Amino acid sequence: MIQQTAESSQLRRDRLSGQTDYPEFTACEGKLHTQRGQRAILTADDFLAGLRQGIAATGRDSAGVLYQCGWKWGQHEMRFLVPLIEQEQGNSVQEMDAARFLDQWWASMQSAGWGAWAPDMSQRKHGVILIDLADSAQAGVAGLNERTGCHLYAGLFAGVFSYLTKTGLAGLEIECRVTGADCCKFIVGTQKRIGTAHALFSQGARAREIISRLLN
Amino acid sequence: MTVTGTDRKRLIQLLDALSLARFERLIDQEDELTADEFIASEPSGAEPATGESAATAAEAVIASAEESAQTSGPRTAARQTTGAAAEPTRWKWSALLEVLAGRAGFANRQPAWQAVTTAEGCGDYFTADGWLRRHAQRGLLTERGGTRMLVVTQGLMLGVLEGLNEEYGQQAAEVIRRCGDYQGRRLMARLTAQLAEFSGTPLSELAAGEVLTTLEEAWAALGWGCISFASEPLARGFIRVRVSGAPLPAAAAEHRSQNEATDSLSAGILAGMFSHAAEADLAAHQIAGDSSGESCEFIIGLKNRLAAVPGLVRSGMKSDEIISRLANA
Repeated sequence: MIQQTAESSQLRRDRLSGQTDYPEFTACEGKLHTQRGQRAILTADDFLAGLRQGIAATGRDSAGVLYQCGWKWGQHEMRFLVPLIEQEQGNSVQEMDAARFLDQWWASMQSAGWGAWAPDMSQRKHGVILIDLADSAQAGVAGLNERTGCHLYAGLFAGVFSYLTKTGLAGLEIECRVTGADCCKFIVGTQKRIGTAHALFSQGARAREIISRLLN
Repeated sequence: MTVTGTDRKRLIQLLDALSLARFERLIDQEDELTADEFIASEPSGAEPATGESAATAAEAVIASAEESAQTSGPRTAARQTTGAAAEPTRWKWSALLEVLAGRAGFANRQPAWQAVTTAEGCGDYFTADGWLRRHAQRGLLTERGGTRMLVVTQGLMLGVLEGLNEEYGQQAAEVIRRCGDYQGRRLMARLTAQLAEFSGTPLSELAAGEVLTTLEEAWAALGWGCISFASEPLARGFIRVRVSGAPLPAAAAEHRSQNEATDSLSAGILAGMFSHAAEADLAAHQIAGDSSGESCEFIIGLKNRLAAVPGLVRSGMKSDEIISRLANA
């Protein structure tokens, strides 16, 4: 797992004290904005369940559509956030400490109710980023018969890292809380690697086995 | 509420005058009819009273109905206020829903735009401390009742919109509408339970205007923009809603074209909320919207009563004209 830096510890303290990118309420107009100025709404996790049901009603596979939505979400988040962070920090995102930048980003996501993550970038040289996610919002509304349910997150992580690396990456959830796991596990990598992981997953391989095969 | 002999006579006179004599039969069967029996009951065929006597009776009954609207039983309130000309916002919430669901009659009144935000709502339910709770270390937000909440940024809105458009083209709006419908039903179920607990009074016993005001507060508290309800179409079994500052049109400006439904999320949420509340299959159609999508109007009613609305919107008919046509149908 990624080592906690001094900066990320500070972020954690900020989170606990409420000094994060939490939405401010502008009651007179019925509009919420994050502290960085992005329009937002509050919604129950019914939004995710409703989205899944709306797609399922069309007879199509909701997993693929939600993944695409998540991928585009990640791209939009980065298009909004990266210029702001670069302005705040005074240098480009490529020159920043990646862990610090990602922790800043997820701090706002965590404040927004999307769970707590722990990215592991130690296997970057093998072309794989591993992410553990506790309390996924999507796992709670996934179908009972699914092995994984957090397709929006998988797309989000792929979209974010694709933006940051300027490479077309893919993501896959390889273990999900919906099956009783402690947390949800994702991998992000090249299309080819994730394609291999997907094939292994479809054959019934468990997360540990998939990661082991990818790294070796 | 107990209807006295004098009131009852005046009420019968008035209802007869308004060709709603079917209610006469109900007065002697108060609180014994089921909704099915109520719907199935036939008009008595009594002769209408003259205009003058009806007007006199109306004044008395209006005053009586208004005084008693907060304490009378749902069906009684509906009967009195729909027959009389009392403000629909002073009906009990349950009475309004009966009319909306087509299970009770309505007065023949001309619609007009008039906001009804005169009631107090459920106080400070959405602004009181503790409505939204944050569990920082776990990345969880919950509302007072324990439901998990999420902050959905415009980035996610755009992602969903683009992802669905890529997959479904113009049918994406239907997927979003269904999503909204599901959200609306669940939201209404929670509000019904939580507001009753918070206020100590079942929602069905509150004045309709009070509940509508609370819904306006809920809408704003969630950051979904501002909604306001028009009072006049309520009496005809429709709800006309104006939504301004909704998040989806703001995110979707590039996908819009003239006369195209621009806020399918709000339409779905509204339909879901009122379908759940009225226990009927209701629809919500957008009938107007400015070019920026900043302000949109919707009409909510029974699906079969609104079947012609999409065609009227496509033909370019103005919202006032659509409402008028529906009210006189």
